[in-house]
Amino acid sequence: MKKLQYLLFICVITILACKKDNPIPAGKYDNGLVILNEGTFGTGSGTVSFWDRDTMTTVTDIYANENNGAKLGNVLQSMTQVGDELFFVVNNSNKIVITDKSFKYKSQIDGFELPRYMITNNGKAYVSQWGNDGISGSLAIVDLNSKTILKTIPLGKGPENMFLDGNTLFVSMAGGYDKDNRIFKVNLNDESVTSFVLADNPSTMIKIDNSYWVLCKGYFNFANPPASTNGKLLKLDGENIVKTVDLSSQAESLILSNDKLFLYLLVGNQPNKYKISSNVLTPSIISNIYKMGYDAISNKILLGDALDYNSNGKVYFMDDEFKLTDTISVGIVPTAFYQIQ
Amino acid sequence: MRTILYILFSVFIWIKASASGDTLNLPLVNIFASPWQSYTKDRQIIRIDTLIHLNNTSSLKEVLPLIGLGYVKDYGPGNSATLTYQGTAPQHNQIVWNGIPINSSLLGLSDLSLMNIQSFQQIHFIPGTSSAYWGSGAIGSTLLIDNLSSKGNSISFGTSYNSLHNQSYNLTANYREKRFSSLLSGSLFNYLNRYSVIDFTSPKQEKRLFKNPMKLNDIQWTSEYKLNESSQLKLHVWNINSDRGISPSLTEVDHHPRQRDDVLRVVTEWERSKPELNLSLLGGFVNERIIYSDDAILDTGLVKSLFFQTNAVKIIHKYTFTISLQSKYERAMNSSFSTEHNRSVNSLALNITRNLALNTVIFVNTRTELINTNHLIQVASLSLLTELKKLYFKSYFSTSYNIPTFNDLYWVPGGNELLKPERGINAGLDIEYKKTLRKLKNSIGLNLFYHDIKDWIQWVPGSPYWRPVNYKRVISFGGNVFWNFNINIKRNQLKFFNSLQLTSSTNQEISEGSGSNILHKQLAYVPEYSFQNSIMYGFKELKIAYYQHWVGKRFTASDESDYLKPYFIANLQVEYLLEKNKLNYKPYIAVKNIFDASYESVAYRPREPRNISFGISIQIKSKNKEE
Repeated sequence: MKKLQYLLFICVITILACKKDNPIPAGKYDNGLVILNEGTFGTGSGTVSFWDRDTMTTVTDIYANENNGAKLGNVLQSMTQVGDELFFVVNNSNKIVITDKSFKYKSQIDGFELPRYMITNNGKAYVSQWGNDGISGSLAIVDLNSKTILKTIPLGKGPENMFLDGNTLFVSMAGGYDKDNRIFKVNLNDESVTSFVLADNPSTMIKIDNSYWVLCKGYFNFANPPASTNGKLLKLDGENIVKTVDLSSQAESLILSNDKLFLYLLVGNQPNKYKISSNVLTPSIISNIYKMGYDAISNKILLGDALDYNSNGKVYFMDDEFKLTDTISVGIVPTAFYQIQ
Repeated sequence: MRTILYILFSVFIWIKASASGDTLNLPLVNIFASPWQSYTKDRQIIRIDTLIHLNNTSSLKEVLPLIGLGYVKDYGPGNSATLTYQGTAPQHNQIVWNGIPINSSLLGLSDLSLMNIQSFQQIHFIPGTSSAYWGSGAIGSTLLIDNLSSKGNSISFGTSYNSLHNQSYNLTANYREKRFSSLLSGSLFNYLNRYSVIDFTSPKQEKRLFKNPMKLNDIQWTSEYKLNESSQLKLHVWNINSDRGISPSLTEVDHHPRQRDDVLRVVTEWERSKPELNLSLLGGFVNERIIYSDDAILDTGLVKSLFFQTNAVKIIHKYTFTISLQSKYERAMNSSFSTEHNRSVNSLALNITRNLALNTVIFVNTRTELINTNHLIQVASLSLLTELKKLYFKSYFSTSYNIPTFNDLYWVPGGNELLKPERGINAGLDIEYKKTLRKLKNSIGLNLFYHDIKDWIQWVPGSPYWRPVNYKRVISFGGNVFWNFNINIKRNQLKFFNSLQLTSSTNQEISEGSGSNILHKQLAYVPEYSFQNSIMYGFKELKIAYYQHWVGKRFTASDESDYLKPYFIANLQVEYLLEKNKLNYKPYIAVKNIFDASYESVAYRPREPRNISFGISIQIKSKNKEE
């Protein structure tokens, strides 16, 4: 009888212990790609897909799975990892959602105005945002301890990707709902701001050795399409343009290969490869690609295909010659790709 | 099974009998100066205003789904709502006001939230295709909303209040003398549409408050003047002014873009009804302006349209001929157009009706339409109507079309002037069995439909902007089963209405792009299943009505990867008519969404929780001078 009581006691303890902890395996989402999907514009919600390197399988909407069906909001724009926390920037919802590495909701920061990207330095986060009207862009500075917005610094139109070089934060003005042609430099010591002019709608900056490479998207004039301008790829020495690569259409996404020999970019939704040493731009035969990324672990180029923008999209894994190696199905409008550290 | 065998046997007998050449004339084809009434005899016509027992304050967007007439893609209170029926899109369902089609030439559809049922004296719903008569867009259904002139002299005032903080006021004046009658109606809707729902998209699952203010002024004026015993003049005027805050979705931050609608519609009509020839002349004018404003966007659309229509109905021997000449001239401007655009549409519609053997009537309709001077469209339909004792058959085979909207053609950027009209092949079969057992009136029926729409226009992603193309082919088919019965015992009245719809509407072909993932998938926001029940009980002047409505899952993604859960809602309404001398008082109370269901018609746009309305209408009558 005593043995039976002992067994029952052990069972109860075990069940209670299981109920309380329900532990998630550590590093559940560490070995694979996190793919952000914007969701249907206007009415939808962003989702997160996860592609597991070991099993080569994809799980869709892991944020909802881990949070009892909760949704991230509309439109999921970007993600930044800070230690063991993931910060999801949700554009139309004017918020940043914070989760742990298992995608469990922790908290959120509200009060942004069409936020786009986030970068961190010394306990602070810097969030580029377009402003509610899409043209009054600014930089929001967030205290990562209190998770509150400390201040905003007015910038130009459509602050987009940022690049941190020492204590200088470069913020590209991609135009928002209009156009701009500047890059703002924010001195993070005193938060003073200066700017310099490039071509229409700079969106991404990369540093290779001592030079900066900037992708200027170009400007599509919706009211008068013939007055549109094409994108440009610029090489800068400091603030001075030392090389200009004229592109045949508006451009998107700028990626640097692992070996730093190539730049990959989308020109008119077509992936292109630019060999830095020879200044040769080679278009692929692929078209209708929405966004492009790079998997530094497998050295694969990642192409996000939004299909009709109202159904699950696809991500194509390409080698450096744009040969297809794998295709996976992800959520609606795949937009960005990350490896959790 | 016996019923099916009986139906099959009846069809067989009917076919055999038709072939025998016996002829029996039916008094089915009456002629009217307005030819649609004779034309649409070959269709099942649902008289909506008699089915809506008590919904005093409802707009068409609330009423149609309750009685099984389509799915309304409703963005929430105070927001736009459009109708889909028989697996078609909103632009394939035409709304006709006093003889003129009123779907927006910019958008191709009508916003049902601006149409209050109190404003119309007669509402008919024609399921299926009537493109050969009503022209572009009349593919899935045609909704006819009409103003009728006064039957007596009266003034009535109504007011209502709703727990969503909505108020409405209505004033109607009826005047009739020997030759002249007039009805003037003005309604003012002051809605806050304030309610809170659980935000299921948030991990905290906390309540979120929605406030979607809407102000709507609706003025309608209808007058008739009898020139002599056989002819009359009619005038209809409809003015709408609305100003509303567009609700955000649950996944968006709480911001409120605004939309203003200013619409003026005028129709004048002359009718002459004589045995030898019935004639009608109709002229119409529509001025429609929509202004949408957001923090970053200001969009203004303006359309002015002129209509002219001549109709003639003539009976020759066993044939009834209806000829209709229709002209429409439209001018449209939008802040996203580079310049103003115009379009002329001229049509000739011909209907021939002939009585055949065994209580059967055949209808042949053709329509030839010239758009500007370069697009010629021809459509036709063939219909049969037959009655075998208590069993009615109506069937049609038709071609149809829907011309591109001004936005499709001229939007900058992306507008595609090379778009072709959408083309359809359509068929329908209605079977209805009616039987009266003493005081019990029974009606049971089945409606089947088939639509094959090619060159379906859709905006598709391109580089660097989206553009509309003749993108796909969609086949829809399905059916509706209904059973109605009424019992009248002394002063007790009981009415039951039950219906069930099954709809398959799938993409069959796409013309370009990598869209194989959407092939053979159900169209978004087209429910595969839905059913409705309603019960109305009346005793003396007391009426109680109960409606319930279930809608199955609706896909929100074109590859069926995401969907909205099914929902079930029920409404209850009680009203009492109190008559004292020349005064009528009609107080009422209504509870909508009795079981407080959480549901969405459009993803992440939660609909109203349980809400209560109450109101009263007071009518002062005087005796009709003709009486």
